[in-house]
Amino acid sequence: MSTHNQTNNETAFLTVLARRYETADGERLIREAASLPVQAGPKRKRRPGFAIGFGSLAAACLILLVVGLMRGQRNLSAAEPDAPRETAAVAATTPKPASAPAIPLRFTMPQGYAVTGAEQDRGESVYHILDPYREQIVLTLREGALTGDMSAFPKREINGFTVYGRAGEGYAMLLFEKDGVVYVLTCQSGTGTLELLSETILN
Amino acid sequence: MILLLTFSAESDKEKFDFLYARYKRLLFSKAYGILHDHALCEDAVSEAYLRIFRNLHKIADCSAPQTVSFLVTIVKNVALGMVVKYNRELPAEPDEQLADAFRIEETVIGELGEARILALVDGLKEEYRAVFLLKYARGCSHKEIADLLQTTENNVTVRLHRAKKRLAELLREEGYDVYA
Repeated sequence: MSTHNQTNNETAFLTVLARRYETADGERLIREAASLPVQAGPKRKRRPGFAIGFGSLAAACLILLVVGLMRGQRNLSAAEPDAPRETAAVAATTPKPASAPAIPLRFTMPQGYAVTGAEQDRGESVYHILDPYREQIVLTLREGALTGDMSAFPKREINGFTVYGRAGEGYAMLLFEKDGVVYVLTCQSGTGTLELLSETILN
Repeated sequence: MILLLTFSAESDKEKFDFLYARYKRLLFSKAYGILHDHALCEDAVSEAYLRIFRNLHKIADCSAPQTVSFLVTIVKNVALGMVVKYNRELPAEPDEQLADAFRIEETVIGELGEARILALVDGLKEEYRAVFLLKYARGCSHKEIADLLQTTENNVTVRLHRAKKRLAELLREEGYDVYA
């Protein structure tokens, strides 16, 4: 094989390889971009578990609802041991006056993230956070352990902690437990911004 | 992040706006994977978009996968450049004997599936992969690559040689006859 042919052969091979890689890599990145938060208009404050949709997130909601109902029932039974189930349902949907969160944040917000509101809702401390792109994140803290069947959630490791996450059209959430506190992070779009925040929390 | 840019044509502005709106979070995420610092990431994304602005003519289809790969290549290399800068490391690659990297049977490329191609090129260090892609996928000259990556043409030549050498090694590991 002459040097000229050798160079042509090499160039042709590398060109095809590079172009096929670029296409495949781009398709991979487009899928990744779709899972990241997107800029959106003003958003309503939302509660995890209730606001992230009863559609495609059936498994995730089921777990949250079960956890929420168990907690609600536990709180109710402590206050009113003989209250009928109907009363419990009404109590669970009646807005409670906001108060200071009982569980403080035990981490420093990463640069560009800011807490815009905080409240205590039954046994949960709820923080409303804006990320650098003004994506609204709701962080809910409750004391206890992450229990229940988590098999519906893909899991990954962040700084040695197991983090469960789901994302889909219009919702994203991450759940994990640290130091006896269960953290639930939700936002309207991908898990990217939630992962960045989680890395700080789990540092 | 504030970018003040002057566009010569409305179509360029629309193209840039699209690329910015659609991919800024992806680019931020990629930069964060390297820098782990929000302020530095914002700088990296700004610098990447400036370089993209200067090379808008290289982008034909804003939605094409190849474009996304191109944008990410740029931002990763901006971020890596910042790591080098802040670590005060010397960016220059030492000279080495350069020769044609390898010969390979033409049929090999047809045997490689997408997953293997991804694994193969992912096996290159980021700075080598960037030069390789800009040269062979984008058809950039060494000078254009040097401008895009803010390095010297000599560095581009050395990195390209190393990229090809590493690719040859990876292909040999897969059982192909490659002559480096």
